Amino acid sequence: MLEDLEQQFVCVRAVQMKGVDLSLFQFDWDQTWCVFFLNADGTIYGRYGTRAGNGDKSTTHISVPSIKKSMERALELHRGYPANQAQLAGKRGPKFEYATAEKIPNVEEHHCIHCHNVREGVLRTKWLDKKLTAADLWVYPLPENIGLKMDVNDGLRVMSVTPHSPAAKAGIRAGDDLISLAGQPLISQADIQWVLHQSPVETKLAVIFARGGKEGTTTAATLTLGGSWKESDIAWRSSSGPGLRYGFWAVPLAANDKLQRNIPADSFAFRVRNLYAPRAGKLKDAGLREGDIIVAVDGKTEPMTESQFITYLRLSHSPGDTIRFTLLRQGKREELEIPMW
Amino acid sequence: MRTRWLLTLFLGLFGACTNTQAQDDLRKNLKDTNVADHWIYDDIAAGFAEAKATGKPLLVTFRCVP
Repeated sequence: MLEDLEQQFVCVRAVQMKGVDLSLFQFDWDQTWCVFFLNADGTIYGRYGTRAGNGDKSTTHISVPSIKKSMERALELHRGYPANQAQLAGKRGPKFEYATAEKIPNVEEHHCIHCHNVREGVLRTKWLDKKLTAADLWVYPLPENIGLKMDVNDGLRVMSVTPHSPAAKAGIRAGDDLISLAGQPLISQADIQWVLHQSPVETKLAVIFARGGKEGTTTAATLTLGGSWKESDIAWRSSSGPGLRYGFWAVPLAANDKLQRNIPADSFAFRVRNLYAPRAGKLKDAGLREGDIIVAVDGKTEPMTESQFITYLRLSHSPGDTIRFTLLRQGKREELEIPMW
Repeated sequence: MRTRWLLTLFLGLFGACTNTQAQDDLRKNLKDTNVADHWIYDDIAAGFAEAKATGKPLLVTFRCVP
C-alpha cells in the first residue's frame, strides 16, 4: 500500500539513539515509533507519530491511511522547497542541551539507548540538579488538550471540537481541515503537537483552516491558550519510570479496596506495587514495603491520580529533602520519613 | 490486539533496509529480520548522503527493537 510512496523517499530505519543528533531529531521520545520527513539539508518537513497512552491508547492517533496522507503532504512540501523554507524553519527546535544521547548524564544504556532512555536521562539529571520544572513534565500536548479531536485516518481533519475550548473559541468546527499552526504547514497530528510543545503556556497561535473542501473557504484565526492546557497524564510514559518514579511504583487503590479498609472514597490512597532495586534502596531502608497502602503524603490526603502523585514527588521535593508517607499497615497507621531517592 | 496488529503492520512496512556489514550485524543481533531492500538500516548519515545525491526527501523512522 505504501511502497510506491516509499520509493519517492530515501528511507532510513533507525533502531537506537546512539549518535543521533538530538538537536535535529527532537520528538516525543516516549513513543514506540516515530517518523521524520526531511530535506537533505536538514530542513524538517514534518513529523508523524502520536501516542496517548499504553495498551489500546498507544494506537488511537496513528493509522496506515494517515501515514500515507502525511507522506503525500511531505512530498508536496518537498516539491515546494525552497520557496517554503521560511515557513518550515520553526519545525526545527532550538539547540538541544546535549548533542547526543551518550552525553546525557544518568542515561541508562543496555544493548542500546532507546528513545525513552533519552528523556529518562534528561529528567533524572534535571531533578538531581534541582532544575526540574512543570514544563519538563507536560510535553507534546495532544490536540485534545486544546479541544480538537482529529480524524485518525487523516490527521488534519477535525472530528469534533470540545465546546468552549480554545479551538471552539477560534471558530474551528468538525469537518474543518487544519492547514497551518503558528505559520508552520502541517502534515500530521504530530506536527500539531510539535507546535503546542514549543509554545509557552500563555500564548496566542495563528491557525489557518479550510472548510468545505476544494470549493470551500480558508479561514485565519487565533487560538488563545492559557491556564492548565498543557497538563496531561504522564503515568503511561516509559520515561516516568527511571526518570521520575526511580524504583518506586505506586498505583491508586481501587474503590472497593478503599471501602474494605474504611478509607474515604475521595481520599488519597495508593498501594505500593513495586520497589525496584537498587533504585528504591532508600525507600526499603526507611521501612517501606511492597503492598503497603499510603494514605497520606506529607500529611496531604487529597486524592491524586498516579500522574499527579509522580508530579508531586518530583516537583515538590529536591535531592536532600525528606518525604513523609502515612501508611495503613495491618489496620494501623504508621509514619515513615523517607530521604528523597 | 489492535496495538499488536498496528505495530506488526508498521514494522513490516518500515522494517526494511540496505546495509553495510555493521548494520547487518546489528540487525541480526536485534533479530530485526522483517526487512526489505530499499531501506537504509540505522545509518542516518548514509540516508542524508543518498538524499543529497538523488534529490529525494528523507523518511527516517525511529523504532527501537525491544
